[in-house]
Amino acid sequence: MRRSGKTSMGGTKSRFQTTHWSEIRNARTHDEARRRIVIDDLIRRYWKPIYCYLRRKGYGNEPAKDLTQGFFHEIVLGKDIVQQADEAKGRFRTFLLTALNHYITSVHRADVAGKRHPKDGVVSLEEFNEESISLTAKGMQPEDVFTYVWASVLMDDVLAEVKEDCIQDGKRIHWEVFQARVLDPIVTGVEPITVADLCKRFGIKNKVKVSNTIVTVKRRFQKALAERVRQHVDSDEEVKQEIQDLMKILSKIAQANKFYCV
Amino acid sequence: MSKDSTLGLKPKSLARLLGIALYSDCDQGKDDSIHTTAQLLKARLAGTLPLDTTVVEELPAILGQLRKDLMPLGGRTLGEVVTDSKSDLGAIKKIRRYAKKMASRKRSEVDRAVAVAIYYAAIASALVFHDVKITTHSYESLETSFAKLINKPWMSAELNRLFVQAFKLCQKKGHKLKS
Repeated sequence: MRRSGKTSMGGTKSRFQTTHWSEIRNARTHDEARRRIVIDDLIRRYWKPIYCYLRRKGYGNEPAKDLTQGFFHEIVLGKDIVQQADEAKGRFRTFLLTALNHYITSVHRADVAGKRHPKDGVVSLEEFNEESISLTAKGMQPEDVFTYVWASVLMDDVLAEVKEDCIQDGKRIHWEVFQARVLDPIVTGVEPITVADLCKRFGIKNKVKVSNTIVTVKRRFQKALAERVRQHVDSDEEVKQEIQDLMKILSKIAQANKFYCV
Repeated sequence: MSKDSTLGLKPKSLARLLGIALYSDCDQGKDDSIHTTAQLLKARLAGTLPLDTTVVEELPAILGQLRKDLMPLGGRTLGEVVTDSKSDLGAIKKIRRYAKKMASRKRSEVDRAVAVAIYYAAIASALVFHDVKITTHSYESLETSFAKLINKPWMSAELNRLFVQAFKLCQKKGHKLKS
């Protein structure tokens, strides 16, 4: 995680101040080790939406894996994406999907991709539990699956970061209060635990302190999400818009899949 | 959804998680329910209108454009529809019906408060921008309801402005009827 780059986002403790556009441009470097770090980071973050998109497009498990590997090997590792990144303006999410579609068109057949990627692959795709998404993705369009998984990976990264930061700062209780009051009701649909019960459960003296605890973690969450999203857009101003756009798309997906959702 | 991942979570819930980030005016010391309500309201206003898709679902995919035409509000947020003077009255009525259903469901106080706010926002929108009362509530009753919603600590600025306009209109209309 780098600390360079010019942006007002994230304040002094910001850990994600470069965008993926600049990261991709950094991949031009002749320093192979540095280049590899950049590429590995991109792959780690983005293989899941790509793989799930391909699966939803009708590719079988193995062809989808082959295409995913091929895409990263030929396009992301290749110089094409660097050139395109220089020419492109806009969201990294859209850019990646467009590049993937161009790649699929150029490959035509999944078995061709299988022959192209290196024997050992460029990234491990084995850890993915397909069942975790199969039910949710049922009925979704491939582009929706891509965005859904994209948002999910983003959210996982943000939540993991906030949790880790809280624990490292000796604020484990802060995190647990936030989880019980804010996260669990959203994730599991349970009624939010009352503030009085939170006081009892965590031995917090008064309700105001509980509220402050939640606000503290929410702010960390907001900051972490903004910093992550900032990597995918051209300017600080677009961060909020990108979050809103993701929400809109997810709401539409929910609507189209007859989930009760606004 | 596994313990450590949001993968498999309903898209609606994922949108709500993202919505946590949109509420940034957190003042320490305030009751958390205010924050939760404000955050949920923002998330709802940023969401799109859930249109009745029972008819268009039957259309084959090839009629994509027609489907698009039948769902002209697909890309607009609730907030945009209720605060835009050019919004179609039919869409506003749809929002009112939808919010009424939402409010009548057995849900948390926060959900209900947000649904009620959207319900009255639709009524206010029809009154202010179309001069039409889309409810059987009297002007007097509406005036009271709008007054209760105005300046709620969790209310969004754009809805607050709408409620103020609607409140004034109801006062005027109510007085006219009396005289």
